[in-house]
Amino acid sequence: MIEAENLSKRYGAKVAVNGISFRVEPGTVTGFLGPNGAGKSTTMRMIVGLDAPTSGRVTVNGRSYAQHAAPLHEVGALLEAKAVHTGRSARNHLRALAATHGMGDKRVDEVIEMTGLGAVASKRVGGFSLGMGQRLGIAAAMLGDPRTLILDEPVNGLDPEGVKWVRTMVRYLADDGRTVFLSSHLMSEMAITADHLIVIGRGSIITSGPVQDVIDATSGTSVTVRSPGAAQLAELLAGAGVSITAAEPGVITVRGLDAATIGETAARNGVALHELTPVRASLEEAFMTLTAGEVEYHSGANQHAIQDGAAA
Amino acid sequence: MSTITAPRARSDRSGAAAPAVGRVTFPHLLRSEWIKLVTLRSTWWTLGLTVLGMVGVSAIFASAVSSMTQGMSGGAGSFGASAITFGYFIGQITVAVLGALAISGEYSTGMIRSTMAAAPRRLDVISAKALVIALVVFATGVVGTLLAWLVTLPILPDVAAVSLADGDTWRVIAGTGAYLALIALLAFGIGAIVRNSAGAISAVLAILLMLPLVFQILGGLGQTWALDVMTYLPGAAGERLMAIPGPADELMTDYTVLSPAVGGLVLAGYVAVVLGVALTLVKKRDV
Repeated sequence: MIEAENLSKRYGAKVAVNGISFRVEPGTVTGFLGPNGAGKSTTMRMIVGLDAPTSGRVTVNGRSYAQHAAPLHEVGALLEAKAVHTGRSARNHLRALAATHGMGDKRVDEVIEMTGLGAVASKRVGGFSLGMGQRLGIAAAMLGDPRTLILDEPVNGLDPEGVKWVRTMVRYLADDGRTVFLSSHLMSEMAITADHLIVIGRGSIITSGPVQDVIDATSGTSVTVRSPGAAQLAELLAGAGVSITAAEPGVITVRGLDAATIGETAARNGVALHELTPVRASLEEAFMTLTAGEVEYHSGANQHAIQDGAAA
Repeated sequence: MSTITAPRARSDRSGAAAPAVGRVTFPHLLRSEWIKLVTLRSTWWTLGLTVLGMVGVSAIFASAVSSMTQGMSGGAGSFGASAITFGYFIGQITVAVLGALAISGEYSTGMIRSTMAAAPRRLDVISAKALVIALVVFATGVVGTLLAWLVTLPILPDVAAVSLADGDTWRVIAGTGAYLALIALLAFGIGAIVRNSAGAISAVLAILLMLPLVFQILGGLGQTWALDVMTYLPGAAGERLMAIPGPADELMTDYTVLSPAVGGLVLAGYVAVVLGVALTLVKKRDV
């Protein structure tokens, strides 16, 4: 169980994490979702005590990470690809980390086998591919056989095979009853791996809950309507709880009304419809909607893509 | 989704009982730092060059002593001792590189984050690392000096021969190891402060090689205070650990001459201050 209370981190004038509170419940895969620069990595570094919070606190299984006598048995963390000395072999890297807890070569060999690093274990890490680096990071996180794993962007930059491997690994660990807290800026990744979501943008938590709830609560369904009388129809449909956006001339996206109601309204008023399509929101869209105002640097083009995405 | 499904045979589970008893202790940290040190090629390069440099310089120096002492009938013992220890001049450079790299290498590669996540008590980690470095460098210095003694044995003339039966000889040999260990720690401390390999190495070499030069030039310009200060510079003070009173001292009546113990303490004082600052910063800063 990871518990954060009013956790904040400021770097000079810049607020990286702004008073967030959350819990990662035992035995769940909790996704930590947010755009780049939202504060995900900073939060994870604070959990394992690498960064000191400016205010607030975060505990792991009831205590701050540094107070555990054997932290590797409490939490395994993959914080960024290759937090490893490039001149050392994978096996020796793991041996050095294992030695801090008095674990011997037997355990090292077990995690090497488990992560499929056997063939490259005696090679220096400097020559590792990103995928091998991630495997080594996960091997290091697994050394103490912890019940809780923290994985920061575990699939970032991996090739499809690597992505598949990480996904399988996360699922395997979760099915084994472990708590997994993983971050990503890829919503599609979360839909596949996570049970629970914490969505963060610009240092603040935007929403959290079970994956499906987050999707349902944020966008619900929308209906795309194509009509030569789109502007007239928009006026007819307008009302409380209804939001209408025009993506391009002749096309409107309606939220808050179902397709039947829209079609009947059009028929009653003699408005011709060329298209009437209910659109179920995907996690991708839910995320875009949630973080549209929270992305730190977005270009005009991106903004457009967000609207297009919502209208599609 | 996250409930434990059918129990499955897991090879890693069998090992779970064993690691569960392990805790982070200082001996475990020493072992970890020892593994880290000996599994890097740069360690073997720097230690190998240290020994090679010490022996090589001693051989050359011994040849010089051999011709210098021609016609002397006695009192040349300190020349012999100087010959076997003079390799420190090369050795201090390579062990400074080793000391600086031991910590700055962790920062530049990101390894420090793995290190501190595995053992969050940072002061213990840094202390363990420093202790391992100091012991390894001390041993290397002693071995290097003994090898230098062996190599210079046939070169040195009888009048300047160094006997291992002499208590002073062992003091000088241990003193060389101690000097090198302290220099490595100085570099280590600076490395932990600046967290950058090139910066740390440059800073240590500037302190060891350039600072004395600056004061010497000032002294040459008539600023006699500069010569007094020079005695207390880290390198000059520490070198006294290897000194044997002899005719060489008489040539230096213009200077304050520290005893080996005081000289060593002065260098140790610098090291303590630098390590103190380093530990404070490491504890305070984000990794």
